[in-house]
Amino acid sequence: MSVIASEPPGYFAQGMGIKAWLLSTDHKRIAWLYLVSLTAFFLLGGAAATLIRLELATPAGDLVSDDIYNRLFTMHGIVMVWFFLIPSIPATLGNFLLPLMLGAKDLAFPRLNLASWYVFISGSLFTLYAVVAGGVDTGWTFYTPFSSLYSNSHVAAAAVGVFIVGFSTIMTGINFIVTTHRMRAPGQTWFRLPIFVWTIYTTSLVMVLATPVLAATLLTIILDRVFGIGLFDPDKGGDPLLFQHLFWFYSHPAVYIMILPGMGVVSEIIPCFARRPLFGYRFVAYATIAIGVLGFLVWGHHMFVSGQSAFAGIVFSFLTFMIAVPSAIKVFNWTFTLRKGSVAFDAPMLYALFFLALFTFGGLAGLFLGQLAVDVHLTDTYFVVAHFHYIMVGGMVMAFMAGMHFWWPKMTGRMYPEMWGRVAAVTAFIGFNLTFFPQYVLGFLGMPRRYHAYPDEFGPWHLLSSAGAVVLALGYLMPLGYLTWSLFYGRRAPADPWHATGLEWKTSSPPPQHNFEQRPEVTGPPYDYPLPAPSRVEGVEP
Amino acid sequence: MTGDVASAEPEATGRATSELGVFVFLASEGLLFGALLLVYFIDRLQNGSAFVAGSRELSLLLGTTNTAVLLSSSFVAALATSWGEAGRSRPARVALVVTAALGACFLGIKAYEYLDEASRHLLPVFDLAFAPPGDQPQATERFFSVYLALTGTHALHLLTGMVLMLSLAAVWSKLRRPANVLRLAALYWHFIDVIWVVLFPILYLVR
Amino acid sequence: MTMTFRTAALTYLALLVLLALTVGSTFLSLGPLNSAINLGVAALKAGLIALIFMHMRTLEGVARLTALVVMVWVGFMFALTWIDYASR
Repeated sequence: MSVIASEPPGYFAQGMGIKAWLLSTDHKRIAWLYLVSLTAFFLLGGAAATLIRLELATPAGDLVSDDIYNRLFTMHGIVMVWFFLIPSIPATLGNFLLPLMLGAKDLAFPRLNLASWYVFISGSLFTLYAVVAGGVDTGWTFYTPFSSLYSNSHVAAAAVGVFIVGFSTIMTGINFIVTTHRMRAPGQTWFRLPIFVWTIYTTSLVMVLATPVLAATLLTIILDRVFGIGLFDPDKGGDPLLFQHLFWFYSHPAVYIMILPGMGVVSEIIPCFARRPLFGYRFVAYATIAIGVLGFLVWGHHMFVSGQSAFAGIVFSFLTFMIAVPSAIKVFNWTFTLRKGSVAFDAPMLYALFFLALFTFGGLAGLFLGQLAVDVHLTDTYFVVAHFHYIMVGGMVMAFMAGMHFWWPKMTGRMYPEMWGRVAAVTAFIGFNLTFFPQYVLGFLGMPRRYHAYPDEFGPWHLLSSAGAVVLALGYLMPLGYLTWSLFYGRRAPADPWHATGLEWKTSSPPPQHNFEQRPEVTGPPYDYPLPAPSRVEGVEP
Repeated sequence: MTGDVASAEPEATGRATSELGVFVFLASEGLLFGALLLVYFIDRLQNGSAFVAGSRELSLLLGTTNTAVLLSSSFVAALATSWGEAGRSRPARVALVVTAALGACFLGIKAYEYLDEASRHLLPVFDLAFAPPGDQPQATERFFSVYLALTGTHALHLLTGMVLMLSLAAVWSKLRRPANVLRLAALYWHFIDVIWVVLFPILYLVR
Repeated sequence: MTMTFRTAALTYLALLVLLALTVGSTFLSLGPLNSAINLGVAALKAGLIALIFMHMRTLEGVARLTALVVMVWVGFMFALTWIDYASR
């Protein structure tokens, strides 16, 4: 492309040395710091998952002992939830894109941004220590009184690790909220913001308001284990159920920390590859806020069978059904955006459509679980495991991959190999369904979660699931390979390879150090499609 | 810290940006204490009379004194802020040190209270003996567990605030706009005061 | 914009008077009214500190909103947990 020569040097020109990366307050570089660390944690959590699926391939508990198995799924949960899913899209794509989409030079507090990464890393060291020292066996939920009184594993170290990582989350949240309020370019009004910004903003609100409650909850465990103050010790008149209330007051909204940014990514990609404006933009924006707020009111549905009162169960069940409404609004809006569009099935779009399918499927299973009577049968079975993996992996990780492919040219200045992208997307989709659909069946048949051995009759379903996990792993390893390859050998990307709207495409790929050569001004609505569709030559492999 | 909005309208806008950041942070802190207060609330619902008995064991005199100390520290911090903004660096720095000293005074009294309570077997911490007066020791232990969690977390925040105030006084002349930083630090200090204003009646005055 | 010495001193004085009031009220047996006074005074004191010392009365809307958000969210937490305990 001839434009490249006349374009300003990208942010990589500021230096490629260790210091240039570790000490830079440039949000684009910090996004990379997060991306590399999160990928490492994803592989660690994935390794634990691999061992779990290997153990479950046969009915007998023969690969690892029950105690080791407990530690494996706990590590899988802790690492995947707090060291991958929660920061995944916000800290990487959000960090990179939020200032670009707003038309700003950087976040409001660049040094706070860098500090948040160091806090993240120091927290992760505690958790890694807990893993190396022998692991934790409480499950990622740290339920008392087991976690506070009886467990002999390294609960305190893991809790301290998660506690510290919480600070990093809060720092990121504060930064994003203030940036969205105060750093918008002239003309970039609230209802001209891309939905990605709306979702990152709402996610940040949830981060800031929910994470401190997790901090308090972990603090009570530490108080108990280290200081002997038994806040939830039944022997001392404490109520372990109160711990669950506090824990889920954080952990249910945390689910929305994980999924909302994914919804944002998909809202950017679907209009672009359908060449249609996002259907019902305002409804999607309002639904985003509604999900963020309602997400705080439904935590009790994790406690239907734990001894909570029946009346509270009814209230939480009702509220749970309410939150399905804004989620469904979004699904309908994305679907309607496709209507009469000229849909191109490039890798980002494939991932986005898979998100749409899997999120809807997983969300509908959530309605089963939200029903009091049905939940009695399904609680703590593989049905629950399948449900949240459809949302977290099928929804969130698919959206993460969608976003990585979509903005890869912007982040790196290189195109990824399109054919490989499509193959990987389809592989992951097939692998995912093979892994997790059998788990719905298993759960319905009564297979409880967290067991390393099971009756022979569940064998075929478990074997199918384990086989699917191999395909899924392949689907995740492929991008790791070809994206890395494209960093060095990929075709140079133009400023706007997808002919997309949005300020991030108005600057060069990769963007210059201060993002824009001139302060951009926004004059029209977002998703101003249709634009001329990208020529097939540009989208595909060199 | 303030980015490019600040370059358009330097002082006021940049300050408002950082201030918003601090308020969002304080909202987060508010939820942290909110969660601990929930434990208090639920435990008190279930052990009303034991909470009255427990509260009676605390020293009203020391609690009231401490409240007055903390309110005074907030007053001094407020003075420091206005002196800083008026460009009167010396009195502002002295006021910062006085604020921190009042904080230390609070923590000293608090520590004395803890020791006194421990000697009366009222602190269910580590493996200290716990033997409260009254006929419902288990329910009374609820009160003292929650009391420890709430006041301990508050004390930790106060300690952070003192470090903040003292380091600000120390590096004052090296900062470009120390008055702005002071304004932010003072917000944190006042917030700790607000928390104590809520804790004081629910712990000391349930008589 | 900046707070005058007079405002600060008057606020401080008011805070001390309120403290005396709430502590004094505990020596009277007023039943549930005792708690009401204590909590009312706490709210007044917190409000004074927030509005004047933390100069929230002069702030822009968003920053003020944070205080409201905290109260509403703590309210969510208390209300829904209370529903459970009240109906066991």
